[in-house]
Amino acid sequence: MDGFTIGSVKYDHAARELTCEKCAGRLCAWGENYKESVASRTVRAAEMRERLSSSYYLKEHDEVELREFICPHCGLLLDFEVYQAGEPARLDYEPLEAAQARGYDARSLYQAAPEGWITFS
Amino acid sequence: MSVTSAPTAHIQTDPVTLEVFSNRIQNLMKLMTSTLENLAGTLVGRESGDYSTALLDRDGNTIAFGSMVGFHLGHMTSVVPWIYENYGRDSLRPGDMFLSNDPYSGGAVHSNDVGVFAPIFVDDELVGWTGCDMHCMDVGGALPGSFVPNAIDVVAEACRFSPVRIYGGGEYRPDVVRAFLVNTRLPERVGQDISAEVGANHYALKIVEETVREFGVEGYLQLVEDVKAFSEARTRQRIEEELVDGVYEYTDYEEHDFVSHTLYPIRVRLTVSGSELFFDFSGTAAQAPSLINCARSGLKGAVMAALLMQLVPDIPFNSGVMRPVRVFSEGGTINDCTAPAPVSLATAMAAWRTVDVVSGVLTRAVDASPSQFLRERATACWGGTWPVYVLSSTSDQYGQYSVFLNMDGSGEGSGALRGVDGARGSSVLLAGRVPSVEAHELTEPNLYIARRIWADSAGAGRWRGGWSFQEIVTPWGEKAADQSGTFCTSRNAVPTPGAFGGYPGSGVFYGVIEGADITGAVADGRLPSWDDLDVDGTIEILEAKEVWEGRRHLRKGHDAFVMTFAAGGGFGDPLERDPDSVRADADEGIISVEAARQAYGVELTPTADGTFEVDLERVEEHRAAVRAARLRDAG
Repeated sequence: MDGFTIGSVKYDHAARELTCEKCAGRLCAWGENYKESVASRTVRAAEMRERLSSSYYLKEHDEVELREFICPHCGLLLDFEVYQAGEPARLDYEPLEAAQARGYDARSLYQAAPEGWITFS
Repeated sequence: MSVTSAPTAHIQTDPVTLEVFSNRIQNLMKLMTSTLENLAGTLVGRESGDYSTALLDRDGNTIAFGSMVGFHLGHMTSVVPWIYENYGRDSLRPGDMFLSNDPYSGGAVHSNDVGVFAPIFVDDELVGWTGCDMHCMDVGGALPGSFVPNAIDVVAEACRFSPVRIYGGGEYRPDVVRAFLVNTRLPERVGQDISAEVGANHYALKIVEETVREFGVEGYLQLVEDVKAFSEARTRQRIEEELVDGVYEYTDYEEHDFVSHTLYPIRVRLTVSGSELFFDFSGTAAQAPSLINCARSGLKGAVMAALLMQLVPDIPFNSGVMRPVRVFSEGGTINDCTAPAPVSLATAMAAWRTVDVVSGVLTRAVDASPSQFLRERATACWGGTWPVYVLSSTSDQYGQYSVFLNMDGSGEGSGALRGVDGARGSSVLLAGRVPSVEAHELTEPNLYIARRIWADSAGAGRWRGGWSFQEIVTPWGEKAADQSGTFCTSRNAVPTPGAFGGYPGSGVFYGVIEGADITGAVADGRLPSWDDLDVDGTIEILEAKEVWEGRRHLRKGHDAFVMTFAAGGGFGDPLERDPDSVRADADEGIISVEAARQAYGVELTPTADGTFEVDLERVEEHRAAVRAARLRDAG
């Protein structure tokens, strides 16, 4: 596997890094969460209406955060996600070996207690 | 790459025969769904596609699915095991038919989903099952429409029947059906819905019998095993060869439990490993005290629905597809609640949100794929809720008691996909349609004053989300009385997510304009316009969940009810959108000039004919400024 792209982020396995698809700028190392490395900011509901128009509706809620993740090299909007306030940035993709290294292995969990999992036939 | 389940069984049937059989059972599904549509008692079935059909094997596993509501798959595969466990397989006789609408015996996602299931016998040999499911407009309970925000448990929400025979050995049991219908507010219409399901099942009984006569019992049972084995093999191949091994993550939120505007995260981690998929919902919020939960059948159905749409849309959908799939849930959660938690809004809330969450995580997996076919199925969130607007009155335009559930949510904006703008369509009601205004006005005591494109509702993006629309109604008709209601929405403070830089679609709201002289305007020969009603200036926006029954009414011809529906999320950075597409959207009223400038970086100039022009030479200059501002503001 040489690599792949999710959204506008290239996961370059050979070079062991993640880069911006638009400008090829490096975002982070392979296996890391690029959202923790790039420029980001929180957008409030009121700002969405300012940015679009008064026709756009979003109820103000203290617990709801809209977060933009921006390529620090070219300004491309890499993602724009909804979060509960204070939550860590979501990891779009993690290699199996990295997940296993931090102690998460769904297959092993299933094999250890298959009766705890839902199957379909 | 290890594989935890047995290798795919050898397919014994020749490919041509298998294809003929596969097409025959898919055509049976079309015949059954068209029967439901033709015979249903309300607009829900006739116009809006809120029903499903299934052909099942002897153990209750899916062989074919009439894919109208994806997550119906969850409970339609749970009914038969429940019957076996509780009544015994030996208790079945040819001519039996069961009615079921209990979310906790696998019979429904919520109690409005009334299912009718029948074992299929040929010469006293059980060869399988047929089943239908349809949303019935009212199944009793505390409130008209059977969506009950203030119910503390499922018992208070509706009349529930765990699977019970309405035909025993071919004999109709009117006492049982009457016991169910006496608990609804619309016995004639719900009775018509049930009859439609019985009729559709009779097609399956007939066609399966003919097929068994053609191939013999053993031959038919082998065909059943082989269509499942074929789908399993194709699915495993797709996972192993076209998805990238790894762990993908996604979270979305249900909101507002009627008591408070609490957020309920639904989290999933998807592990792609070899030819198998593991969906782990650990960390999902505990179940809510109110109707927004779904039981396990909703969770299972939501996983199946999203897979059907994004991973295997070209593979015959049956239980073979699901053999490589494992799901973990901690239980007691908002999307796997325990009895007797209320679930009457499961279909529009927790089950729907679970479809969104699984779709969100699958989007990351299919976008990583080397397969162009799969990458084109990476999508922003589709609408993401079904706003429930139930209006009821003591008298409709014909002088009859009225309960009406507006079904126009099936016209929500779809999410933008990689390479394609969003359109009209629902991720849950796969064949849902928006009834015409004329159909509405024929069957409900309302005058539709306006139905319009909702500007700037669509999530901005390189590929724009599907726009949504807004409607205004007032109670209407010579014999019509004022109307009360129950109203519930989500995507109110938590918008419909975009994907990979696409903006979220607009939140959903609804409200009332009191004291408008609609009667006078109509007497003058005109319908008041949006501006006449000063909707934006005078609307009273209501809470995300409201119960009016017994305390508030819409006055006929004087109060207007404003409804909005969910819009789709955008895909990709809006500054990457083709400027001419931005201009075309403005020409059609989908976006405003302000949004074109601020979200898309495109300055539009109005022309004499009401359309717009774009100065292409200035676009990149303006977009560069927006990008610079982003980086400056991000710090």
